[in-house]
Amino acid sequence: MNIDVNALTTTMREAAANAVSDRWPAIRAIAEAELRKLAQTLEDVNQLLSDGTIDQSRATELVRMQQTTALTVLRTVQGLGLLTARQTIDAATRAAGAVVNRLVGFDLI
Amino acid sequence: MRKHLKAVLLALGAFALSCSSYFIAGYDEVIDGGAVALQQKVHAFLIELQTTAGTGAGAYEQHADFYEDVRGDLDVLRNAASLQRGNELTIESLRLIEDNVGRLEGMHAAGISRQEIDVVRTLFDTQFRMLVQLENAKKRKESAP
Repeated sequence: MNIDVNALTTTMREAAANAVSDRWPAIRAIAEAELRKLAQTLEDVNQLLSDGTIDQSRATELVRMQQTTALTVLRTVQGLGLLTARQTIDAATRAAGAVVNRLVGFDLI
Repeated sequence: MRKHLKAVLLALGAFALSCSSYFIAGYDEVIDGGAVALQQKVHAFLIELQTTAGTGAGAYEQHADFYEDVRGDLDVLRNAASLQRGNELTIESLRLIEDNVGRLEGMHAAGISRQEIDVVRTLFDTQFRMLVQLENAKKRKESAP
């Protein structure tokens, strides 16, 4: 029984890369689109302040709401990132398991 | 050879341990369905408030119950989320929504214009959409091979 560490590493790396594929760009696209929408709300608040519809205190309150919303977007992006990381780990573990279990003769992984 | 096997097993053990920080809770249809229902409730309220803002029918006193009702719904969702390990991000998102509900309530009590409600509606729509998106991503992960 011989474990080829290099080959095992390559197997795990390839499985991880396949699991991620195009997910990171998709997550970044979600973050960008949502944060762009939120940036527009800042412009809306600025407009309401400029034309006298709201005072400074109300503008501050609306900007705080906007910041809280931006945090919610970031929490979801964080969660999507974690899910992708988890899938990457699972794929690498499965790939390693297939090789190692065969070599040791029982389901170690 | 035994040395090699030991090294690989140690590496895999360390790898498995490092994975625990990547743990995220599974899909929960109570949270998904509850978030969608609450999103619709808040959206409908803001649409109605936009048509009645500045009139007696839109006064805060006429709608104080709505805010308590929404807090109750958020509590139910938070409790459901806390039943699963790895749901900190969802719990945090629910807290952030509640923060904004409190701010909306304060603005409503002091008087709110239709134009402000436009902004507020966009913000709440985003918050709820994000909450639902995370839950749906968990569902997709579970159905993935």
